[in-house]
Amino acid sequence: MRRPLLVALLGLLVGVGAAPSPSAAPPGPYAMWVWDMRHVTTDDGRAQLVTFCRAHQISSLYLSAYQFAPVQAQQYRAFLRQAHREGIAVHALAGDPRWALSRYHSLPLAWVQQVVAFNDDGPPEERFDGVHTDIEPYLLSRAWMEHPAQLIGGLLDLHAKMAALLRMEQQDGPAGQTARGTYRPLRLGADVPFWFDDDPTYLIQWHEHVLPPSHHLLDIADYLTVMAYRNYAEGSEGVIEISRRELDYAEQAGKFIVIGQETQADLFPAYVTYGGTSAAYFWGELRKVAAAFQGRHGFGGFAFHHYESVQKLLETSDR
Amino acid sequence: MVVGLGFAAPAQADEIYFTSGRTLKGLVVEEHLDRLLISTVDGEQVIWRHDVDQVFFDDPERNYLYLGNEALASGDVNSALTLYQRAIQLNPSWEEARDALRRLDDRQRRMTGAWAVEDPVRALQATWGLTLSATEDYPVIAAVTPQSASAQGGMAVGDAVAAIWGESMGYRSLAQVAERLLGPAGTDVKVTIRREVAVRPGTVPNTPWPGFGVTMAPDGLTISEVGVLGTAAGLQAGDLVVALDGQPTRYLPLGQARAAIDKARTAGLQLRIHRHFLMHRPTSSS
Repeated sequence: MRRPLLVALLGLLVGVGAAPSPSAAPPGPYAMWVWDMRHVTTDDGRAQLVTFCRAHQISSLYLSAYQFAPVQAQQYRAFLRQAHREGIAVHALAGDPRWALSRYHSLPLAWVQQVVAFNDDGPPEERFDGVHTDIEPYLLSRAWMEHPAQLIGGLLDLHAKMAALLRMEQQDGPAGQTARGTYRPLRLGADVPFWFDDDPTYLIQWHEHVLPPSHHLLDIADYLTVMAYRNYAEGSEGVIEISRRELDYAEQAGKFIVIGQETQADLFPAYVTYGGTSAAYFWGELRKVAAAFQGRHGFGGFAFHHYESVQKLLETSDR
Repeated sequence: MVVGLGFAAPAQADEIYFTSGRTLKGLVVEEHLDRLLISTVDGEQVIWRHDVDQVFFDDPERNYLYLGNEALASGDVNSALTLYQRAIQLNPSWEEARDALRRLDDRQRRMTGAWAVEDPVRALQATWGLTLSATEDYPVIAAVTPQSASAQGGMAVGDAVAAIWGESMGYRSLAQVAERLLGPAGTDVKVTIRREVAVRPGTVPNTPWPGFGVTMAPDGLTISEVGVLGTAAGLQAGDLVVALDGQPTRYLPLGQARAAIDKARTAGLQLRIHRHFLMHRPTSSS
């Protein structure tokens, strides 16, 4: 029963018509974060983004979509139509480290409800394909130092509530959506750092099981994007090794992981990013990762962080 | 930081969560070290920071800036850096977030150098030629040594130091403000001054009123062009107009602001402006 679901999920990420790369790029699929939603507020911006995705076989986007005032909703719809025509899946992206605190769970849950309501109001081609969180509670310096278990527990509880909300929406049967076209449930994805399952400090008992936070999240969400921010594939600290445990657990849980790769320039330490290297080097390292995980059904490809810096890396450096 | 100086009210609201469990919705229009100013349906309210658990802004980038500031205040430079970078990723053209990143750099430079002077206020007089005086809100420039870096940079007696790298200098001690200004010679510091400017008809014969144009920029009502009369009054394109004849402009639509300026053609107009100066830190007063 798990395999067909997984295939369906991967199909959603890959999108329709993603052709093999004509360049030296490794097999995808590829996803990409787009933080600045201004890219989808103009015809030119939307066209450029879609063209870029087409050129680099990017078939899934995590698009910043937190605000749903009429003007923004209209812009999302225009982009969703265009992206879906190209076979690009679009996931609504939002997050805030404080969302891990149970006191504030009502805020992200209200956001999920907004995405659901947005989808309910539009035809299939204008609907988001998923909700994608980037919460990173460890950025709450003092709280993370003092009460990491409280924040991790809150993070897990929140995603469980989100998943329940999305399931409820699916079960309740949005009659309007069905009437307007094929109903496709929203997927739930989350960003997690690779080290969530490297440090035993973060093992946490949640719903009777003692697991690392990322493994619990794999039980809850449809997929995880593992921020495996290293600019080399091999070695004990390379992308392959730091993603392996998440991949193993994803397969056990019947889910999949997407491997996040950083491309911003001038980050410290330099080994966390491909920024400042070359496109040829970048694709070369990704090819090694793809080869290592070839045939693994829990491997859902790569996610590039993020649009502006990937653009710079792929279009201004050598190929 | 001093924010919300003139933009239209958003569809959604910022929300303050108090330590008491209470919440308050509105638009946070000013952020200072010890207090916030929030505009609500009942008018503006001062909120003390020590009563606040968290502030959630409607704009996600402002949340990341807020969290970056909180991280920096607690000494976590790495988290502050990540949070500021996320604010910039969400809105690359947002100067306030970029200034926060520059402030972080500046802080690191100042901390690695030997800038912990015993009396920063005196050191500021010696190096910048700037004498500050305390008021009930912002420190005001009481004296500027002629030919000093401050004088050459365009600072004047009566100007208030509103912000440094976009961070409000309101309700701080003079020593705290001076510490922020001091740093390694030759490095940059962005200072926002608040200045009162009077535009009077007839000061330059045969010049049309008002001698300047305004537009609504992301930061608020902004001087877009300056003619003879505006130049004579000391206005510059890019100045942010925070008050017209004592009335804050932050809730004033552009059309009404233009109408108010036009109506003042016989009596003249008092403007309160914010102007940014990118100052090179001097070695000594010259």
